[in-house]
Amino acid sequence: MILNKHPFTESLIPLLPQFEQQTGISTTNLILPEAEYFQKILVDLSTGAGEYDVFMTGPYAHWAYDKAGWTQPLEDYLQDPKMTASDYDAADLFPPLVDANRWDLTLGGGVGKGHQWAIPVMVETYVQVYRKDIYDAAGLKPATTIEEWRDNNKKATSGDVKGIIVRGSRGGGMTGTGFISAFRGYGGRVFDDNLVCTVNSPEGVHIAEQYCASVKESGPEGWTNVTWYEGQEGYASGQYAQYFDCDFFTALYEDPTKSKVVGKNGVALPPHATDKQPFSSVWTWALGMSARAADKNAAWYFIQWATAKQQMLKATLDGQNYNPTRKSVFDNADVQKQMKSWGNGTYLPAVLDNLGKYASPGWPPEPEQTFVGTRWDQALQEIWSGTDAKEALDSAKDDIDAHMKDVGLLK
Amino acid sequence: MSLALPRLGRIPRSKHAALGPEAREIRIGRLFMIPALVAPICLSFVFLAGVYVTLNNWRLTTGNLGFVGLSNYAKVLSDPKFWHSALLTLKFTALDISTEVVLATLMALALNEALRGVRVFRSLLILPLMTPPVVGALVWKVLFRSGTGGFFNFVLWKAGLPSQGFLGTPDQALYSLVAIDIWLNMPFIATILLAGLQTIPQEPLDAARIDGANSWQMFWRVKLPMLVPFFIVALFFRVIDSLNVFDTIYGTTTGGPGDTTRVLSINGYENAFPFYNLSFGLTVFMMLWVICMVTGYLLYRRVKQTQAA
Repeated sequence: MILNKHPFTESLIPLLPQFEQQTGISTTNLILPEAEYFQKILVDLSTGAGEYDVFMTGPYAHWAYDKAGWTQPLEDYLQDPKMTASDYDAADLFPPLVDANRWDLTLGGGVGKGHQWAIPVMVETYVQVYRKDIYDAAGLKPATTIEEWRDNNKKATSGDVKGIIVRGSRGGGMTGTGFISAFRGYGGRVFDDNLVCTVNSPEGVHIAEQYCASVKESGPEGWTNVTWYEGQEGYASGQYAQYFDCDFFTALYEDPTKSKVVGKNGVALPPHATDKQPFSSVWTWALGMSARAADKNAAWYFIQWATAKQQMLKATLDGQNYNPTRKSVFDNADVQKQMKSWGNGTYLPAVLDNLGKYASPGWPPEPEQTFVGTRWDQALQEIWSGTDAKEALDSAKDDIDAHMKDVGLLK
Repeated sequence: MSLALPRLGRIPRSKHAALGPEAREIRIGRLFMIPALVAPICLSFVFLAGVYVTLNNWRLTTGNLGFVGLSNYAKVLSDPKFWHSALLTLKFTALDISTEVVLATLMALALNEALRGVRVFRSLLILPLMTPPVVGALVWKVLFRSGTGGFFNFVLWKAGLPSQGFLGTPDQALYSLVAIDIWLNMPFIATILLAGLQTIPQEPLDAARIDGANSWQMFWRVKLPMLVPFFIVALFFRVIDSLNVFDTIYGTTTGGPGDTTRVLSINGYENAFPFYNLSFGLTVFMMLWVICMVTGYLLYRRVKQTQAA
């Protein structure tokens, strides 16, 4: 199998001998950092090398693989009592997260239908994590609209502390986390029903303008170079009053060995239009099976074992695999005890709100998501650098449409 | 009457045996040549496979959709993003190499002097050369970071100066990358020039000194002309290396902000892998190869001219 370097993986590896003893199946694994990981799995699947039976993936990543026929549908295994243990309890996995990894291959739609391409092991939603002490001192409340968000960021900037940090590195999830959550919360859509790009819609222009202007006036000077981990470190070291990104980063902010802002945090849902509900995009790390797996039954046994309740509980308690994708693990008293105090008690309500009501994949399903995301990232960087928002997004839309035509997805 | 001549093309057994050890040596010598003949064939095979991909419509997600002739080349050449990347690549190389040459010359001249501790500095010179480019780039990325967490911004902050975006701002990113590449590769040129300086015979220098030449004249009229072959060798490698720059940029800006550092290698890589368009991406690399070949040929011609002179 090939795995991404991640807390889930780190908690899993020491337990592999148990799996081997229990099943008699031997395992070998390759663990790589995220960028190298995605490159390696792409090469393996696309060349048909079939070196790996099981791999880590997620909705946006496996859409390209699913469409190309590289991934093995898992529903037959999941529903087969001979192949799946009676106490596996698939219903315990949060249904929206299971659905996020299901797709009927319809371009632009069909998520939650059709084949089950992967089983989720970890989920992240997107929230505003802010410095409660700074907000309280300045009389600020967490923003509910993008205008309030910009205003808060400006007012929270003082001395050596800047008001906001968000991802700014091209191709590094820059538009795909907080930004797309706000964009969708204003009714924005990446594509219309005919797969014509609409990132330059009035909502798209409005959000991009406010977002980039706020980062320019209250964010880091070299924003376009900020990766997720630099944002995380910047916030944890007390340099910023808000990081609008992954919810589970809060675990690090509340860890006294890694953070200077322990006990000073608050968590709030993404900003959204006043006449709409909040929206959070969602990413799940999930386990998928290669269509060229040498032994598919053995591969399924492994996926089943690795996503079982006991394993996920261990991964969460010992390996900090936040957020777990099983309700029973989320509800476990020890897990609750760990997460309860985070964000001065605001973490769990916000994340459960997202998981229960507001979170779903922000991107429409199609196999060219990497191109679309990277080109949209580039447009935001251009806006931040001074290009007119409409002009930059029109140009991105033209490029994306041209690309979709070129690959035969747009007539 | 017929003469019993040996057949043409066949050496009588006795004569063959008479060549004995020499013939065997030639045969063994030919065997040793095989790797030298096989290696270029293997290298050419990979290159030709690349050319084959560029003549087809090959996407990672769909496989090979068939022969398309030169249409990928037409597409690349009519793509404004390709020309943007090509100009950026040339700009990067021009800035990078010109600065490296000046700094490397100064450094080589300094390290050629019989100063105390010069051996230590000569050893330090090669440290960046031992550093993998991507590691060097990542270290520089940390040094260039925003806020007081970055070394340079910390220094600016201490000096009461405004902090800078460096790699993260469009007007500074390319220059910051050039700075990283200079740190990584300038020692290569300096090492070659230092070796060159140490081969200059003492006589012409003594003669120039007797004629009353000052330090600048000694350098400009005596040392520099003698260093020209060394400059050309260093430039040959460094220019091609700089045109192909990838690790430094991918490890830091990945082509941003916007597309202000999206040089040809990043353009080709992005198209081939993250965007799955293997044929288009490889075509971009083929064009980069053409640029490198032309540049390499021009430098080679210069070497020949210098040798002739």
